[in-house]
Amino acid sequence: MPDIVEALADCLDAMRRGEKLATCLEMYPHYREELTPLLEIADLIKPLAPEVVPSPVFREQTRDRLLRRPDDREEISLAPD
Amino acid sequence: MLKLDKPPVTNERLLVHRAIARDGDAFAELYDLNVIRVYRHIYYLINDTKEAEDLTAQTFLQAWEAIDRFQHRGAPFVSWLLRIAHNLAVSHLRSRKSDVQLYDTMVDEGLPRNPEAVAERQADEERVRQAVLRLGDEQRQVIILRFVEELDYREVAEILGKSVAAVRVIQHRALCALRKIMKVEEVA
Repeated sequence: MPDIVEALADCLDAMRRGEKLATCLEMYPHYREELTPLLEIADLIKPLAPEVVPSPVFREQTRDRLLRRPDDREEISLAPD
Repeated sequence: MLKLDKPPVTNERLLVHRAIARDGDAFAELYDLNVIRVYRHIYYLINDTKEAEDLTAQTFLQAWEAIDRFQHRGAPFVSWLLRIAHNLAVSHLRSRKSDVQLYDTMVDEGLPRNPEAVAERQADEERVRQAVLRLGDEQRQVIILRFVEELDYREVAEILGKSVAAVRVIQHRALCALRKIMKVEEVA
């Protein structure tokens, strides 16, 4: 019998494939009580959309800044626009 | 799922070695290879495009300043970058006056359509995100790489320089820790 770590990993894989939480829990009835809250929490962690990436302008500017000598770098401000 | 370029380990080691010797071009290559992953990690924690960009820039500037203190110890370079990114993000969140925002750029498949249920679900997701911030380095990195980046165990293991079995154990401990943190908050 797999341990709880393996059972959790299997259930998470199944959920990622589109299985319902209840279906995943049926695979490991003896771990049901332990697995339920963990799977519920995992289900609340949402993936970032693929388009969440830094802008090309930002990437280029930061790259340029890194290649400058330290004395030439301007301070980075986190003040709102 | 977003697939990111990954440097071959030997190539990365060489780049890091050159960067430690103050080779700016080598560090720029490390930047190119890792900037998207670092940005997305910070974005998940901060949830603001402009601030995530600023903190991403700070992460690489700090890394460049401190590159001579980097030690391989088996973990890939990105793992070190993510640790710097996390520390900056946490400091920044502490200095923020208001931190309540709902996500608008995340995948929302499977959300219930009832407005009250949607609001409740979003509040729960925000609570989990806050709890993720309180995890230790290793657990937080596994949670973000597995669930936010949707990487498989082998990919996470490579990024963190761990075995697949170790990643599964960390994943279990991290979810248990999240449950504990959220339980304590419920009581409080």
